[in-house]
Amino acid sequence: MMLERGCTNDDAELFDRMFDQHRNVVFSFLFGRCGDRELAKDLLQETFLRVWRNIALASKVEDERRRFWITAIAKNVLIDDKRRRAVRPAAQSQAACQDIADERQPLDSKVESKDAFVQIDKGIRELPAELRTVLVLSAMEGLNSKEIGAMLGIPAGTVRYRLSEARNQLAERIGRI
Amino acid sequence: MKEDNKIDQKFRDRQPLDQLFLAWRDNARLSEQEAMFIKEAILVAGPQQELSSMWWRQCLSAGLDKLSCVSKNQWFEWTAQSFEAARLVRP
Repeated sequence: MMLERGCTNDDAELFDRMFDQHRNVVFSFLFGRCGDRELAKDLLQETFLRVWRNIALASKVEDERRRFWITAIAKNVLIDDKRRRAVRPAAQSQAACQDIADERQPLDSKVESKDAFVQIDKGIRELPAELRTVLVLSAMEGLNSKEIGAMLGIPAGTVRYRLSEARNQLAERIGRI
Repeated sequence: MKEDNKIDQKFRDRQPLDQLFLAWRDNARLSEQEAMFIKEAILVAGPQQELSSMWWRQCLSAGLDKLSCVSKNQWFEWTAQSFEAARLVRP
């Protein structure tokens, strides 16, 4: 493993552990916020790059607080990305993912057609970010309303309301209730 | 939580949507391969304080075909050279 100047093997091990432990939930958070899987991958990478560059600081953060510490970094990454796009709207990563579903593996034909899958993908992307974020964190990571609330800094009751609203709106958008 | 379960049950009652949603969810998750690739790019980009890891990922991607025929260190070196070349033509 290549180590940054001043980094120790302990730092590298801590980074490995943090990446493996938190990557999925941070990815889901970023995906929920931006609604774009490819962009979320780039933002995840940028988030953990900042974690790596601040690994000395990370070692001082208590284990149970690390998810929130990384989420705070991810929020800054999202803000920076938004600013960059405001200056340069034709950002490269946005154009690469107009049809996310096409690039990924085909689904089981017994469950649904590709058209239906694209439809649900589009429906989720079109949800307001605040609804999509709780839906993705709940569905992809299995977090409960209290955990999502702690991560987003909102009450658990608000999470439950948004989750219910997200599901209702998604059902309406794809025309299946 | 009890409240979460109530919402889940309500959602499960909509069977067609639920099945589609689960399929979408499984497909949208970050794969192991994607995660490993991102981690490698971060570790390579880490020392380059002024440069974005996204650029590294593009270079890593371009260098993947060489990975099987060279050592990891040689691969990193080759990728670093590719990265330098890419940086020079960066718009």
